[in-house]
Amino acid sequence: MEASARSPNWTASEVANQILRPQDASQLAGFVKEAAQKQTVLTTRAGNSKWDLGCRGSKQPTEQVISLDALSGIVSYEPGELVLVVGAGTPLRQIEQLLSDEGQHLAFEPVHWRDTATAGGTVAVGLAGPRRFRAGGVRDFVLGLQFVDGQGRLVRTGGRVVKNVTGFDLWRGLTGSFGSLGLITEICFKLWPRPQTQRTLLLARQDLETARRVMLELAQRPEDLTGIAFAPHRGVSLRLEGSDRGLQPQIDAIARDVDVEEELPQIESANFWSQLREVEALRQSSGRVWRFVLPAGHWVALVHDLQAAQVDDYFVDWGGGLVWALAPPEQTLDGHRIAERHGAIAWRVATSPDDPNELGMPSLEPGLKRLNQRLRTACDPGGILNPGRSGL
Amino acid sequence: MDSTERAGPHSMGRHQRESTRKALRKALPDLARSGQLLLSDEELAVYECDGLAAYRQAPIAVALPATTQQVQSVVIACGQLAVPIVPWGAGTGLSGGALAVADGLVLSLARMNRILHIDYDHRCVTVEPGVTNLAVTHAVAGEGYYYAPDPSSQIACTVGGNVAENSGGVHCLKYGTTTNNLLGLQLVLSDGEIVELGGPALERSGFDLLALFTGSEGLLGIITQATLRILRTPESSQAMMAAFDSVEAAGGAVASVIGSGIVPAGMEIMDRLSIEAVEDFIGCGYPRGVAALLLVEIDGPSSEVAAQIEAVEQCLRDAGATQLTHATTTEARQKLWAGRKAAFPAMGRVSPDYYCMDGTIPRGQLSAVLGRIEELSQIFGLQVANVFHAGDGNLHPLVLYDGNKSGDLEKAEELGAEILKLCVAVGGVLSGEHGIGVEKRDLMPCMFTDDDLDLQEEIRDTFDPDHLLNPGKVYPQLRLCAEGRTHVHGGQRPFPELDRF
Repeated sequence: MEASARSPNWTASEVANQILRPQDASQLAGFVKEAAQKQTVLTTRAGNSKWDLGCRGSKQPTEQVISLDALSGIVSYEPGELVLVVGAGTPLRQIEQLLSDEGQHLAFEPVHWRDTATAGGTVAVGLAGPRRFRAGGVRDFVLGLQFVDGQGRLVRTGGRVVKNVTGFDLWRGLTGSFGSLGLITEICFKLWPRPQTQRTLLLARQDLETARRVMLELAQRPEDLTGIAFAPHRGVSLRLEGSDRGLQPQIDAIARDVDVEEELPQIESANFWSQLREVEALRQSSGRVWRFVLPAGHWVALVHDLQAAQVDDYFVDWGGGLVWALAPPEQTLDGHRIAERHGAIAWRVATSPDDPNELGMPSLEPGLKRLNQRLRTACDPGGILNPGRSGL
Repeated sequence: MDSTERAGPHSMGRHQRESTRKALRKALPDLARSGQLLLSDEELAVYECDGLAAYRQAPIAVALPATTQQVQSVVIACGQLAVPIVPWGAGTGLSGGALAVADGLVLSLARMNRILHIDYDHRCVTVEPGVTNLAVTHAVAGEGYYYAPDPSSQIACTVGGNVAENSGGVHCLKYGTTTNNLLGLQLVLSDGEIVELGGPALERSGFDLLALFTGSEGLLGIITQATLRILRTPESSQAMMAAFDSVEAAGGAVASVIGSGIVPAGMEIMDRLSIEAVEDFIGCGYPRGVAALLLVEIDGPSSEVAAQIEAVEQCLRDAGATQLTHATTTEARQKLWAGRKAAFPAMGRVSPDYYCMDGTIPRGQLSAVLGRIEELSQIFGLQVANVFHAGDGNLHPLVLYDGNKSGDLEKAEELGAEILKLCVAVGGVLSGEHGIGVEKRDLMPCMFTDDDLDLQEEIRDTFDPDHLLNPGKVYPQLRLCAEGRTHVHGGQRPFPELDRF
């Protein structure tokens, strides 16, 4: 057993504690098997870039931290297959560089959150960027996984092909499960060609209800719109992606129907959407960040409720299906209650590594909770894998 | 193989069967009164097999519930009487996933066939499970929308069956399979509990159970409603056909198109045997004497399609295309596709029987796999025709044989199993879209380890501890790497009116 000296974003006490750092998947399986026997609770991380997402809970006496950052590396990359297999600890930046060189990308636009983000964390948390409403989420771009279940068995699910109906789609179940169904060791991603060019249009400012209507109508258009966002100080912004030649006629068609105020210079376009994806403005302010996923048509009603609670700093992504908001430091916002009223689910972002963030995830109604627990029990009978992190 | 499935002797005696039927009638009086509970042997004969006709077994009863509550009462009654349930959509599946069990009840969802709600703002449609795949598109086509997954049986197959099998079609590389186009489900679990998963929001709380239930082949719950994502009908669709001197060259063209950064809506390859058979059958204008044909379809905004078609044409020429045909109108495009869609029935004229395989392979392995299939074909002395969803790597080799010739059937089965094992060996999977069902369950250990299968079966056990739902499907009875099979005998198959491709 090797203890790592330090890693970014770990608290001093965590660094001081022994942190297990398995060198390969079978060593990890051995650690989990032992932990299952001793009923030791395991907390896992790789880049620890998203420590503030999910419930954290208070530290348990038998808790053992395992870092998966050594399970790193490109296992195989065949651009012609549109398939990439990587170890869970592989840095996202390395992957994105590799793909970019071949004119490909992860079409769900992985959210880095912090620059130590890894492939495994990306899948375990399941956060997708602005293209989500059009291209799909993380779940739609994972073709297969290898993981260690709660009994320490090294298990494979899925494959490396798009069309696969062989056995249960467990790999999608693990996506977004915050490591509480299994510890991901290897991921097979479905890739997509990177569009030749992207262009960003800013529409003239409108009142909220008009903006809501316009966004819904835009999302139904045949053009390749891969970003539809709204911010109170900026109004509606659009992104189109495609070939140099193919985009102009599409932009002309849109401009005939909606009031385009300006187009962002090419050089600013990519930056604009990555700042949005990373929620940079809100996360850099002081206060508590909330995330709401909801039916796209409901965002204005949700925003009215937020405003009534003195939360005025927010923006809307996914054509209306995602709202990020910042509650001022002195403000205690019950985001879950507001979410419920609008068919939304809310995540609360922790404010510091010592914040247990018990309200990080929504609670489930009893029937659904039982169903979730059944799956968790099958995958992790002892309940030792990142318990509570997913809110279950 | 389990002899009860092919020979079909009942596992219980007549007396016991009658007493179970009586108990069902008593437990479900409303259904019995309104003709929604079929118990006579004549009525049950219709449910003797699904699209995989080699396996036959009549159920002990068929229930035809019209509401979720009726489904619930059937599930509860069957649970109490320990009568296994086989869910049934249209029975068009090709892997025996809806094959009845001798002492079991078939739960047909055919009467739950209403489109409940269309929500254009959120681009989704909520339907009952008995609605056909194509009916979803028909319901929204007037407003310029469609439902993307398009299995070849889409005129008859139902949404419930599509979800249970995670059905695909010819456009999966670009648009995904059912799981990528599904937003919500209502299900009845094995204990009778009704649960709702998902909805119009893109994400939900808790684990992604929606994904787990999709493609679970009726083992985890009975689907009673589904909310499907609909897409805007593309502004433009164009197709191209290219002829090549070798299948390898056609495969190279596919890689080159994808390498150029284009994701076509569909790409299909046919080999010489298939091309000649199709021309003999319907004469759709395919060139004769070529080794392979590649069909490419591009869709999207008109300006983008125009740009991509040019780039694709360049790729095809560079890859050695000997002839190129463009189809810019809907009629011309449908004509190009007509030949591809006629490939299966055309084989029925070439050979008395054929056996259809359904493995998926990494695209780059195409020529190696086809080479090996050719070798196997010679070793076994049986011809194999190949049609291939080249975009998504889904291979449909058709093993030609004569069921009247002694030993031919067994040889075809052996050859088929070798082909599927080959698919797995090169990094592919046992089934791309037909499902595991009873047909391929015994091949599962070729792809999964004991630990892999244990975990999957443990998950099944937590949702259905008594194996009330669709027992005997997907998971092997014995964990040996055995052979699997799908047959069409003497051109006779269920649903002769359906295109199969």
